[in-house]
Amino acid sequence: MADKQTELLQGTLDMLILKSLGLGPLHGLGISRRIEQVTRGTFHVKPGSLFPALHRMEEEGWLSSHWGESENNRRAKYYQLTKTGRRQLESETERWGRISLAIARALEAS
Amino acid sequence: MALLTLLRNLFRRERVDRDLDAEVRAHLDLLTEERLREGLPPDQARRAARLELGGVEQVKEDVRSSRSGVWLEQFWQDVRYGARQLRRNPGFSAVAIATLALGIGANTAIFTVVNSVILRRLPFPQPDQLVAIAETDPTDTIKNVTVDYTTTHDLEERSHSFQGMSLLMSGGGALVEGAEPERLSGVRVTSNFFDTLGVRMALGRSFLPEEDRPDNRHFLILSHELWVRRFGADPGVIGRVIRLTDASFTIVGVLPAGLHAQLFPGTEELPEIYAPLGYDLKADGACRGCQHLRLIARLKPGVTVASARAELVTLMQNIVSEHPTGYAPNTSVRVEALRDSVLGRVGTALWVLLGAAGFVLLIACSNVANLMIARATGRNREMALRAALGAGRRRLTCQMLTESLLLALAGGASGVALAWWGTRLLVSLAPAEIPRLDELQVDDFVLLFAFAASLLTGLLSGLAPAFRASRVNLNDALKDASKSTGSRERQALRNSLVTTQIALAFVLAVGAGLMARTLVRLLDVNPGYDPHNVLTVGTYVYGEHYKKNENELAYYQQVFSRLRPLPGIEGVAMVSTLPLAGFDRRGFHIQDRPVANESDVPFVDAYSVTPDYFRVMRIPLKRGRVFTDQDVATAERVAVISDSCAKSVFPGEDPIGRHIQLGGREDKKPWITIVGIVGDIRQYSLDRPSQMEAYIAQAQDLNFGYWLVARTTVDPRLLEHSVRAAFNEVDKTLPVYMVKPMEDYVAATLAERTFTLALLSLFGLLALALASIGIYGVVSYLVNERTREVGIRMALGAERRDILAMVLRQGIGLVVAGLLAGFAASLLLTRLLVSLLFEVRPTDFATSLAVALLLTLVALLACYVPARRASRVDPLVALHYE
Repeated sequence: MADKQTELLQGTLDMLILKSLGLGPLHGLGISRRIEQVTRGTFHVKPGSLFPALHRMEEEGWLSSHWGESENNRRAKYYQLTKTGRRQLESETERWGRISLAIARALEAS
Repeated sequence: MALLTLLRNLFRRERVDRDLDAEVRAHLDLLTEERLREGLPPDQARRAARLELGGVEQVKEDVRSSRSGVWLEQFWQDVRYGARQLRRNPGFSAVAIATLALGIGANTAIFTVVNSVILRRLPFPQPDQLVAIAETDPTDTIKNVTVDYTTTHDLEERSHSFQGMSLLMSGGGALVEGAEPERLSGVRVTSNFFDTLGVRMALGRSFLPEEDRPDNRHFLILSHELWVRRFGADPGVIGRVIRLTDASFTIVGVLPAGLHAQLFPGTEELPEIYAPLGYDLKADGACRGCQHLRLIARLKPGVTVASARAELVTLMQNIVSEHPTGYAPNTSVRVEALRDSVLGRVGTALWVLLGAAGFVLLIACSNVANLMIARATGRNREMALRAALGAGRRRLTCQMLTESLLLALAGGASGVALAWWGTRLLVSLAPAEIPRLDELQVDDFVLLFAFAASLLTGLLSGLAPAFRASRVNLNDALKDASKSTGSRERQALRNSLVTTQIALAFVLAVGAGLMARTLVRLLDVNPGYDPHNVLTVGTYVYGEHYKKNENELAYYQQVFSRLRPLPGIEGVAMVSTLPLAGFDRRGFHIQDRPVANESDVPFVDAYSVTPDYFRVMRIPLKRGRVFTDQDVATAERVAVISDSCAKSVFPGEDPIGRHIQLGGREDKKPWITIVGIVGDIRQYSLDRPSQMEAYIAQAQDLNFGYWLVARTTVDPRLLEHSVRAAFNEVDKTLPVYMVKPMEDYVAATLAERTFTLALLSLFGLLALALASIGIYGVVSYLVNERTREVGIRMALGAERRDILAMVLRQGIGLVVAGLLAGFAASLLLTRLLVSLLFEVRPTDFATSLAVALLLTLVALLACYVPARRASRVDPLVALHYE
């Protein structure tokens, strides 16, 4: 397991979690692995950060959760996007695009 | 939704927690499974999964603390946990609460007084706009509180800083109608007086400008209290005509209740009647520079006292240069906030006491902080356990702070109770000049203050221990290494707290010491007369019958002849101005010594007296003679002057036989011959030397109003009734007032010092007691920590004496550090006491030394007890200790 850990920018964790749930419900470990996978191991989300974020986002109404069965018939809590969650993902993506563009420009400027 | 979640988090916590637990455990299972799939053996897989998860409880705690409502929930947990902790240690809690109760109680009590006396003293809108204005004559500082009419008129016309200026002078009267005659204290004011103050009448109206003229001024406004007492709160009183002394007055208004406008510093009576000033510019003493009126003014919004002062000083310079003969050279003007002018030294005393109470509170805080640090040592393991279970540093800090806040609030509640009782004590001690102290109450503002003080106390006493506690070293603490690494640091913190305590106690004790020395000095002062066993009574005459001087003198003579045979009375006499009560300053003109400028004439305190006055008051005759019964109106007019007057006005000459004149230059008084010289007296207060006195014979120059002084062989209070009766038997229409012992006046001049001393001593003692508890605590803790070391030393042959010395040395180090810091602080702080001190410098070395010795002694005693315990240690037990 790659231990390359890049400090998550404030607010990016939420966006990554929302994004990873875009294709369907996942349990905590699934979200964590999905983020690792799509960022090619750049980000490794520890449970100590993941679970507080999930619970907070659920309180915000972005996610909903239910108990379900994992691939190996284990009980696990699954999270999925709500409507507000989807809207949040869109606005976060849009915001991120603007920020990264701006930063890229700033860095290119001489 | 958010609210629902919050409620769910708060009220269905158990279910939410079970759910969370299941979720995290499921996660762990999933992780383990993942590792198993990677081919790890089961035990290694589980271990790897745990490592990656980082602790089930910690993850759960992280989630919990990210939930909404977590603050409330944790706070509530902390409160309950804290309360349990405090209940479990009743000894610790009781000591801490009692300590804080003393500190908060002292502060609340003093603040109650400050609140009602300073903050509520001027019950008018925008009291900060009100100022007192006075002309200042550098040659005669006595008169620096008054102004004259003409100058005021000029100032009012030329200045732009004020919304209004109002003159006032005292002027009571005898209310004769209805019940028994009663002298009412009163004030005569210009018609705009109540507008300047911003007071509206409860009934009727204020004075009109046309009612403020010498020929039309017989109108009255009553205080609410008088209206209720003498007029049965009758609303029909407006327009009624009543007899006051020898004129008829029309009542035009009644003031609102509770308006205790105390505008004359140094008087304890509150005015009950107000009448227009109706100033007569043709009357005696209406000249420029003839100051006898008080002036108050209201600043325009936005104008500061300083800028108004600058304006008036410039204007006054112009006025003086336009009328050079009217004023003493360098006459200027003084402008100060009315509050300061009214409060004077009482204000200083109260602020000093509030500061002193603050010191006591700081000492109490550091004591509790010390206790908590000591206790925290015992709770290391608990803290470490909580940290291991996922409590963050913030959480631990909050827990400790909650505990100290709980203590402080409990202390605050007991403190308020203590203050409620304490203010009653203060009332009995306080100077009479603090008016209406009997109406002191613990109001909302005071409660708010106490609450704020408690919160601050909680923070102050809890911060250091909380900070310490949150930095536990998990490893050491859980292994119960008896010497936790923080120990040395912790000891340093405790030492510095104790050093601070000693320093604060030192400053307080020095303050008390300085006040004590001042009081001793003042009590040593010889006022020039003997105030013990003297009864004083005020009276005056009015009406057609008494227009003839013979009749007035006859009234006095008849009173004398009734009093002289009374048992317990040794002698009786009369004087126009009683020492320590008011003054009558007059110009002192000398025949054959013309002055270039009228204002160069020296001023003396003038007294019209009966022949026995000097004997009754025991004022010694230095040369010549005093008055006799032969000094009547038809005989040669004679005067007696004081020693200081003889020396400064007639240096190297014999004043006896010289001719003088007393009064303003327009008074046209006759020349009188000096026949004797008597000792000086202190007219104004015990701390002010004689300002030169001159006496004239009552039979030759009658004044308005007299004081009877009776020398008694018994407690003068016992004679009050019979003396009053003697007056009433002669003429029951005449007022008899202020029947009280001369010693009351002496006590009143000492009052704010006695008050300050009593409280500073109390605070000093409290501080001393708290600080010695602090020292005791720290030294016993040290002894405990070093028990094993002591045991080794003794096993190696150290004597008990050596152990005792070793412990004491450590204690002394703290004491010396504290004393040095305290000495430095006292050099800065005792300056604030200056206006209260008398013949003692604020940096009095002897006082500091005495206090240092006392503190050292007490501190040594506090060290000795644990030191002795250390020296009694049995080496065998000590080596097994811990």
